[in-house]
Amino acid sequence: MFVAWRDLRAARGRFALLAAVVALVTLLVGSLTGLTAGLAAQNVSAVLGLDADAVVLARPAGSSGSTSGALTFADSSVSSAQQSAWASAAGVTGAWPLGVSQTRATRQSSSGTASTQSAAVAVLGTDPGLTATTPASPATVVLSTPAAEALKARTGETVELGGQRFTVAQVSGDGWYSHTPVVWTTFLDWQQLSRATGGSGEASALLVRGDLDGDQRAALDTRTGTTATTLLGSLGAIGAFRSEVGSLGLIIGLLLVVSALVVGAFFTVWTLQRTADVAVLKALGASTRSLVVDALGQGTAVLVGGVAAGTAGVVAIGLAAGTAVPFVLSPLTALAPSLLVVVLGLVGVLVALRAIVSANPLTALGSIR
Amino acid sequence: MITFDDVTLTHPDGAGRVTALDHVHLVVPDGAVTVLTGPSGSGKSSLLAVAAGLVRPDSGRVLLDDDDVARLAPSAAAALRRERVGVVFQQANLLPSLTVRDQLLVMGELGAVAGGRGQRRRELREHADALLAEVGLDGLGRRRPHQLSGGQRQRVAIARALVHAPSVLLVDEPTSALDSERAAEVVELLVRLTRERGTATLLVTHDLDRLNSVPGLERVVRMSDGRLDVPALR
Repeated sequence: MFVAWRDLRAARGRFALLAAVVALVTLLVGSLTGLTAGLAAQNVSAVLGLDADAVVLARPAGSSGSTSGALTFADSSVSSAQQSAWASAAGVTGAWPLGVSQTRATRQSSSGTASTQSAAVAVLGTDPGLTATTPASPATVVLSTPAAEALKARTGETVELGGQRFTVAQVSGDGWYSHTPVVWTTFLDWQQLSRATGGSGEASALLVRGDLDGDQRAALDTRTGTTATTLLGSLGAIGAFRSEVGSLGLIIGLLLVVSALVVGAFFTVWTLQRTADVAVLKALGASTRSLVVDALGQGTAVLVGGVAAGTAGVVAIGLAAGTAVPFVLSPLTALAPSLLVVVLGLVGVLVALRAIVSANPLTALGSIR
Repeated sequence: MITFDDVTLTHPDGAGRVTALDHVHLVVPDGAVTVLTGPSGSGKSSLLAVAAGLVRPDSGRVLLDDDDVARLAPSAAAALRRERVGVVFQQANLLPSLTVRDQLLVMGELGAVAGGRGQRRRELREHADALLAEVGLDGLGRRRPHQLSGGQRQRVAIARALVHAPSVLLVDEPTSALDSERAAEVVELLVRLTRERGTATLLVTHDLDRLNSVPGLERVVRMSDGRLDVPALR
């Protein structure tokens, strides 16, 4: 690193510029990752919190096999016959209905005056006891914390859903579904609500527990016209999640490619500019290995410096964002993208090393150039 | 001492090959400057490149003491240069990001990276400063190449080539960018250091006339078309 450090000092303007670009790319990648994670959580946290080995969704009419591309919670409708088929299958210990719908909730003021508060919510209905957030008795709801905040409702107050009144039994959890805060009801209450709002009252999905092998599952899928998937796999059936994560992931990927290209291009130009110096060092006796280590160290120093500054910016943004925007600040969202920028940047540096490896010491002798 | 024993070197040239060195025999003794002169394309720099292990000859031996430089692999030739051979280039070829002192210290770093002598950095610094004073650059250790005159840059290059106490010094057209007065000064310095240190110095120049006034340049070898014109020096 003898020459590398001195190069950094002598050309600090150029290296500072590169470090600033790396910092900005890291800031963008880190911010987008935090935002993507936040948006994803607002899409799927309620589904992810369910306790099931598999989620069964009805295939849309006209689809065949185990194709799950067009599966959505919104369009899926699982009949009681399909539920029975799954519940009685070998290896299945239980199959319970899950109702999912979105509607408007209104908190009724205790004094009966005009002081009401309403908000769009997702209503998830399951059998009592199936999840920790399902209410134990009919005509009651459990509000997720964001739903309670949106409705400014507390335990014991009354909430109206689809013209029916429910008592808030509890405020619990951080459930979100497709960017709307979740209200948990019993499945029977959900069915009534579904019918009252023009729905069929059939379950949107089944929550299955048990141990089914792949062949059994495929056979059951074919026989019942459903598709079973893992809890994680079922997230793709939430339309907003698929499109958001897909588009933001694409942007993050492109930014990472850009960072590798920018770093690679800089170090390629930088190395080509100093090819004559590298040739002199080789002519003086420097081994190619020592020159490569020197250049790698230089690249790593610039990358780590830039990425550290960018990561600090991501943390600052995450802290400043608070709850104003859906932003997840965690070691995974802050450090993983930074590490990726370093790794991809080093790939760029590695490409630039070709010029060092191929530099011919003979060119240092002027008359042979 | 470095000995060229029947060295032949050819380069590809279109469909055929051109002979750069044609059965060269030459002894470069310790403690003296051997001047190799001749017109452009005569093979002077090729001989220098072969001596430095930068090019492998087609045939013949290049003996540095008992080691045949012509048979060394590139990595071994590089190790030989950083330990036993000093090279002074035509344009000084100083590294622009390094100070004058660092130009010398970098040789120690090259050695350290390759598992060389491992002198402590402070000792190396003192050694470098002493050598800079010896070549007339006392107090200029913190300057960068662009802050030096052409003659000063060439003196730094000479100090860099000698900092690791090589037994052979290879000098490629050291005066081509200097006026006659500076050129004579630089070559006088080379002659003095060669005698004091006992190095075997091979100095390549195409412009011997400007060096006529320099004492101590008795060993002059003329070269043309890859052949030596003074076999008496074999």
